[in-house]
Amino acid sequence: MKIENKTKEILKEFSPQIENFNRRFKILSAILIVIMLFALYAFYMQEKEGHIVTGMRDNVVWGLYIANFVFFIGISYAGALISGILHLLKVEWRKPIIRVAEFITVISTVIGPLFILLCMGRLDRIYNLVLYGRIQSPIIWDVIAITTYIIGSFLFLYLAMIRDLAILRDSPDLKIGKFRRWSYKFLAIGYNGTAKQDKLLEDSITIMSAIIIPIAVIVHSVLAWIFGMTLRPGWHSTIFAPYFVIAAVFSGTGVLIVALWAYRRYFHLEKYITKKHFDYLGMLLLILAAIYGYFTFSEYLTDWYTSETWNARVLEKLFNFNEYGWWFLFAAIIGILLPMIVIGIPKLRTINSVTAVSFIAVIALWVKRYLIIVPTLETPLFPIQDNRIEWIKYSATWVEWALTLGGVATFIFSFMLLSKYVPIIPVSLVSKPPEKTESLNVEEKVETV
Amino acid sequence: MNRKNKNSDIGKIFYYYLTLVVIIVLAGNAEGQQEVKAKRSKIRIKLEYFKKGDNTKQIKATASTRVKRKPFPVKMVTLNFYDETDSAKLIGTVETNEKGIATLTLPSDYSIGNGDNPSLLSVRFDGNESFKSASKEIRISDMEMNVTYKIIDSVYTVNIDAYEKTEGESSIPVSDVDVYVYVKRLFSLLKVGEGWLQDGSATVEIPNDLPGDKEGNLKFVVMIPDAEGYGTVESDEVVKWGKPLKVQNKYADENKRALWEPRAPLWMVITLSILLLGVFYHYFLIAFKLYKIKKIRKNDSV
Repeated sequence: MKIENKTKEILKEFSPQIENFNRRFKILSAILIVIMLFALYAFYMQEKEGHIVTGMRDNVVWGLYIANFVFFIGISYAGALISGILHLLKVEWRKPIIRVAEFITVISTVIGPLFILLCMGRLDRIYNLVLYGRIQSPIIWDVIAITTYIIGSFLFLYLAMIRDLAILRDSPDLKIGKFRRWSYKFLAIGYNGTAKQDKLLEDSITIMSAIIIPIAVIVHSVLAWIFGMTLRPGWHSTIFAPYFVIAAVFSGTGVLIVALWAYRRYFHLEKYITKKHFDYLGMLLLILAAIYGYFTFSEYLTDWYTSETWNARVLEKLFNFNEYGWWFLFAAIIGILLPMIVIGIPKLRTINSVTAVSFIAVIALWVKRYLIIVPTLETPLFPIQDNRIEWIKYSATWVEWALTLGGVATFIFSFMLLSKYVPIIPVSLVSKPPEKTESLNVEEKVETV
Repeated sequence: MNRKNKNSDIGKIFYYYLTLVVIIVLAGNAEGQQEVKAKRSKIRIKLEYFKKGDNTKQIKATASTRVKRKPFPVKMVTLNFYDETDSAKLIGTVETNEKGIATLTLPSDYSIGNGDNPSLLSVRFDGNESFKSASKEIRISDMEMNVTYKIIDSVYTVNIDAYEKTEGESSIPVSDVDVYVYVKRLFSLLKVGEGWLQDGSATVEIPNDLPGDKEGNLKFVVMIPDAEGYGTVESDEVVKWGKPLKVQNKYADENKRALWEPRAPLWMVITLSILLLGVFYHYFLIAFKLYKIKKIRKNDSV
């Protein structure tokens, strides 16, 4: 394939990123591997001793693991919705950030469901889920939806990478190993940039961009229905599906901003990832925070006003500062209002401040997932005899925390490895001239390209 | 010098206290032992005999004591059961439970005397630090009970014949005792009729609208409780005298919403199929396009 000079220049700029494993990379990798090994030990302990080593008991059967699962599936929206929509609208400024978004999607879509496996008591019986799964069970909907979503996410990322893989294949100056070169050749499936190939690839990407959006919406709706279709207080809500979808896009955007900030700093990508990206994504975060805040208010107002016995019990726990009051204040108020204030006031809106509030919003959303799951389960509907406090009150153990940290470490480490495999900035995309759109007057050029 | 005196004073005080402590401890012990001896309580044992429907026999001993004139069960004491009909023969040892009850189950072929030679069953408690020894005995003859279930003029009737077998083929009818008919329910027995045995027989009428299981089965238990010289004798049998139970849940039947329902609602299957087909059609379409991209390369190279 003939590679244009402009593309060559950009690739040359990124070649150290994929060729060298510097000291900083090695130290960070070592730390992450230690955390992952510790998580593996925790997993071994859990499998050896059973779930008694976790804080989960008969009443609180879900804890950190399910909170993490919902959280990771949520942040996967970064790639699915943001890059899908931006691609369809042919928004020019998407080009440098689209790969980071897609990486987030693929990695978190793989890590998220692992937490379900950790939550299951008998992994050796998992095949029964397939053999005896019932279509009318929301759990099975979730299994089907997430499997479909994982396939779609991989396909979406792969399609978007083919051009870069072909460029890497046809760049003999790159100092990389034989196997890696072979893998580029294999994965580039003979793409040479001919007009026909380009048309086929572009069509495929457009189809995937369009289809990944409803899939993502369905996945998170199904996830919400797992909660919403029970009669439990705090879960049985008709707005749970859109509420979860908005929360997911909110957290996905937040993680995308934080990831862009980290990459910009680590790889010195100031030329490509500019303040404009943080401003635009910040604005998106602001709008999402407003919608999410509206949903949150609506949800709790309805529950509080009707004060149905069981709902009221859960709300009492959420509003009580001796129980979950502080967490609720952080997750449902600070985590929403702070990003709106900081991003909404132009003077406060800097790259660092937008990143900081995005980070706070992401943490707040994780806490929110915890608050959705645990207080409800701590309010059992059955008046059980012998109601020991340790059976009702959930407290995560070191095993759960270790595996949670392991999940985060795997997320970061996978990111690091993937960005060593292909340039984090899509070389083929940024070297292309701006796409013109007729319906939308978006003719912005990436400043430096 | 002063220091030496001081030390010897401390020594004297120490020895004085040590002696005092030893005396108190020894005195306390002696007092304690006297108390134990003095406080050994009387134990009362109630002995009952049961003959179950499956012909197994049970001897039930209930041990109790009185504290401030109120009865309290004596738990965790060992009771020895004997058959003393001919000579004292140990037939079992059982420890009392939380309620002070020790039950010994004898096999169905265990022979119980009758007529002039009834069995003499006894229970003995050998005594311990808290309780004095005690024993109790009962004389038991083996009662046979024949129960027949007949519908006479649309009336559900249970006929009971109870007698004691004697030597040879003769028998002595059991008379002047109550007989009760029960139906076995989930947690206990439901009394559905009662009668009075005269000359060894009784007739009890049973309601004809008792709900049974799905097939209309009822498990009847006929019981002669605590009859003098016979103990409690039971007979049980499953009879199709109940009204068959129909599980009627119109809503669940029509909507197939039961948790155990294996079939998913049709609309759900159709919706899911359309969604999956729609998505996977596009996945395959993209896979086909990728295949075409690869093929173009091959054609180019040719």
